Amino acid sequence: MRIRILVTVLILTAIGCDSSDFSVLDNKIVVELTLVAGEPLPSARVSTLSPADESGNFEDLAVNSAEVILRTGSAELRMPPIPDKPGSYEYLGPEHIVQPGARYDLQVRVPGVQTVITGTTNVPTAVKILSASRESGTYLSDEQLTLILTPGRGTDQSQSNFTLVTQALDFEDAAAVPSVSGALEDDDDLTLEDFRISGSPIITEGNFTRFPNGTIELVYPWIGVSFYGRNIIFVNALDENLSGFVRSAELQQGGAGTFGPGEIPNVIPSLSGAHGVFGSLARDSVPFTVFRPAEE
Amino acid sequence: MTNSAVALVHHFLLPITRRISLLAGLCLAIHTAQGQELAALDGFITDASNGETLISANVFIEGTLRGATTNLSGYYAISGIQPGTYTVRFSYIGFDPIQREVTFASGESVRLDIELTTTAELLEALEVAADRITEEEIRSIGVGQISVATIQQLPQVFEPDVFRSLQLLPGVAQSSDYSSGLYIRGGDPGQTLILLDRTKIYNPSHVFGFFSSFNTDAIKDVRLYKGGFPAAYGGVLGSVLDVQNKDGNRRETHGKMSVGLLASRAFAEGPYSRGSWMVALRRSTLEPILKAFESEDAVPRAFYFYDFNGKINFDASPNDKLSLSFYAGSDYLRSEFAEQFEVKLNYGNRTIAGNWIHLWSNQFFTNTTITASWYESTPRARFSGTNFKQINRVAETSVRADFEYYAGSRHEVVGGIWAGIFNAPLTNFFDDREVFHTRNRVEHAAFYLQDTYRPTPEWSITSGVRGTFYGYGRYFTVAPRLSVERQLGSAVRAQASAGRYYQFLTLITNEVFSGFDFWLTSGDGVRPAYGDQYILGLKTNLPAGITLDTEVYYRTMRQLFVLDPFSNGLAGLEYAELFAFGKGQAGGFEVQLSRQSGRINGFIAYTLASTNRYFSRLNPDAYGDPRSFSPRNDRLHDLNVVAQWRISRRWELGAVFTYATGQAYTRPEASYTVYGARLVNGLQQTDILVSPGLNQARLPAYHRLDFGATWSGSLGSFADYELQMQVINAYARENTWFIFNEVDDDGTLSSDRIPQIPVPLPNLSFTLSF
Repeated sequence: MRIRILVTVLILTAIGCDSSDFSVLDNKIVVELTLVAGEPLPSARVSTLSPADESGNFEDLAVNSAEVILRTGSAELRMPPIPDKPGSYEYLGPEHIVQPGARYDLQVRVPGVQTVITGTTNVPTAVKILSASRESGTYLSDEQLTLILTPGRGTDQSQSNFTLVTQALDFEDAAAVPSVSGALEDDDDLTLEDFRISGSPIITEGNFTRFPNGTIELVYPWIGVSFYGRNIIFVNALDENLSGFVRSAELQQGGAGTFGPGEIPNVIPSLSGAHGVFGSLARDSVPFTVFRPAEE
Repeated sequence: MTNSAVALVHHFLLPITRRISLLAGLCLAIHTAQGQELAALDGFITDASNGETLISANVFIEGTLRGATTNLSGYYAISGIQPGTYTVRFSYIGFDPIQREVTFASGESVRLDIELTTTAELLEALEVAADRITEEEIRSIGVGQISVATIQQLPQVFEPDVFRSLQLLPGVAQSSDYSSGLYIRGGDPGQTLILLDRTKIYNPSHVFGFFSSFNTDAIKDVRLYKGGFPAAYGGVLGSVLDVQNKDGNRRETHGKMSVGLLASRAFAEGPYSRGSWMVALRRSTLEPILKAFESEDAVPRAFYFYDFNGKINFDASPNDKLSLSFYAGSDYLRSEFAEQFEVKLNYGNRTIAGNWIHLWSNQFFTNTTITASWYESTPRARFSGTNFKQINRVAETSVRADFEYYAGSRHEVVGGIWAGIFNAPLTNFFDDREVFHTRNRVEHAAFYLQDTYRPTPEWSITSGVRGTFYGYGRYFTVAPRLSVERQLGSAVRAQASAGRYYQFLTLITNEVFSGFDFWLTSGDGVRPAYGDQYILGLKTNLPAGITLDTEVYYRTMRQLFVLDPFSNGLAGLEYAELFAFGKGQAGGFEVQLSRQSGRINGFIAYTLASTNRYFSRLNPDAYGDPRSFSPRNDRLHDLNVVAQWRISRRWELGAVFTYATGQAYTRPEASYTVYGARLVNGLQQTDILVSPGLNQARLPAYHRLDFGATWSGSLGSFADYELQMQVINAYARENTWFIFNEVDDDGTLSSDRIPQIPVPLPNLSFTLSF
């Protein structure tokens, strides 16, 4: 009897430990949901992977019959499908503002898919821009924008991970800075819209001056500016999921790293049972007007 | 009082340098007390034509089965000889052997410095005596060697290149036509210790990895320990490349000038009253080409590289040889890739080494070196008014002292210390502000002791141990080594080797571009990597000067640490958080059929190999556990055929054919698009590729044929000339470098093949020797 139990335990242990037959490609579902602290819940997207040799239009890949539930604390926020938007799911209850520092758990069930898709994000605490050194500056001059801010950080993070995103309000050909004009001339596939919003790679808290009171000083680099005129500069503090996603997506595009040419890592997963990304960020913004240098 | 006792007293009465020989004298005294009649023989073996010491020349006392080979300083010693008269034979491939009658009195020590003369046949075929390969060392376990003459004659891309030549040996893989990186027995380039005149070189590359930085004009000897290297070497998991510069001609002054498509070279050597000197200069000569194409966007605004080798030898006495060697090399690039986007890069190495060889007695030899090695890389970029800059330096000063003690007829003991300070500050600046800095100043010290025991002429057992202290993290490692050789008849030798190896540094490199290479060390929370190597070998001499060498190896790589590519930059992290940790293993079978002499010579090298890595960060399975993947350099089959045919006194032809299994790469099998991240990263959509795992697919097989012809002659008594004409990739094979994937607008995944050198590439060079 003991031997039988032992054999049974060994078999179960072996089955339980066998991961060799499971491939990430066995997960066919893609889920996308990014929460922004202090803002209402955005819509979620559910679709399937696009096989390498097939067209990947989102409408063709959309999954319209999933059950999407978001939980935080004791609240359960159901996100039903939007009838006229394939693959989109939206919370229709009383307005829910994403809480900074809160934990959100996502659960997605797709008919015909046995695996329950789950994910968790710890929303970073609020980013607050305490002061901005100026409201405007001349491009490439010493008149750089310096921000003092309180960094947002997820409870599972040892330091804040930022991206800086610049949204141009006066974007037009004539307002493009020389590097953008040159890129538009050199590459016919690029459009003005590609530069309307520009973002930085991940920047860690350690990249900037930290003060004893916990605030940090961030000097906005001119490389972030694509257009003269009015711009809005967002400082995003990303949670661990979004940080991993952005960083590993950069590596797929041949970004920094020690991978050789043709070595493409999969992105760091933030969901169990699905591809995609489930993450959160906290952000604040300031307006900044960029003047054309006198010599141009 | 015996002669040896007199010698012992004599030692004590000599000045301070002699007194240091106390240990040697005591050893000698102890030894002679046990066998007072035994005699000894020692000396240097040199090339009669230029005075260069010959490395691994053979000495054999006929009728005794006693022999020795010269060490890297050209020194040999045989002790424990019964008194009497013997015929001693000195030989070296490509040289006329010499036999000397030597009479040994009881306890007598005979110093016999020998000069060998090149044979007439090879004098025509080969250029300098320093380029000869010996039978003895090349057949040692784990050792691969290719002569400098062969390197200079092989058809190669633009320049004769040491690393690209070594890539033809079994067990050494190349990564691409564009890289000279050494991937040896499953290891990456950072797992190979590279020494020039006993000094470490940290980034031995030009043109960002296209060539190695060794000027073949200046080199005497290239010795590659592919694995199982002796206890004298350490600090790496995989292999050792030991390059020796020429000493310089001790007979007469010579010079050489070469003009090539990429670079030109000048070389001079000669004697002076107490020794010899050598200088070699190489510089790229691309400026006219860059000027002609300066209007093209992709053409750099400025690019050059240079290297300079020099050595001066001072023969202080018959027992004291001093030398000072130095090397400096640098690459500079300035390019404007787009509007408001300028890149400047300057990187290079400098080394200096002072060396003192001293014979304390005919049984005790020491070699002491003080070295300094610097590497600096300062990539800078300015993009839309924002500056990016990295200051990446390595500065290492060290002292290395080795001794060889020939303890009677059966034991040869070698040992030594190697201590130094390694300093590798790495500083990143963004927008003119320092954002990252590592200190990495490490004191390190190593000692080793090795005994070669020959109980019978057929058996040789070498056991050794190497201990290392590494200051950062305060690690102390002990690495045992053992190798056994058995002569099976006159033509076959069986070999086995096992050992443990530790590595304290990791090279952060991208095989596409070596100009950004930097080193990080083990330290707090980052334990040294270690691995074991096991090798079996069989070396066979076949008729007609043909040799057949086979080796089987298996090696492990544990506690590997590499810069975590997924970390969000370097700033603000604990040191251990910079790294991804993993392990690996490699195994293979190598065979090399060679003919080293004759009008038609060359070799066929075949490797059957496999290597893999396990890093949970780089290639996790669905549960986050590490899953095996093949690094790009993993190749199941690798075949190289090298042939040289000396048709006449004026003409010589050469050809190299290479076939290899396609490299591992990642083939995405699906994709998806994230649309909502624009306020996260600024992109309208982020296309994500999905694959079953890293490097799960294979590129098409690689093959290439290169041809070369050399036409040589004399311009009277003034000079000799040599014109080399070569074609690389003769049949225009379009080998794939890598696959570039992107998601098209309609969501379809498309793949573009990026080729290696796709067309026949001509190469011309003209050399004048005087």
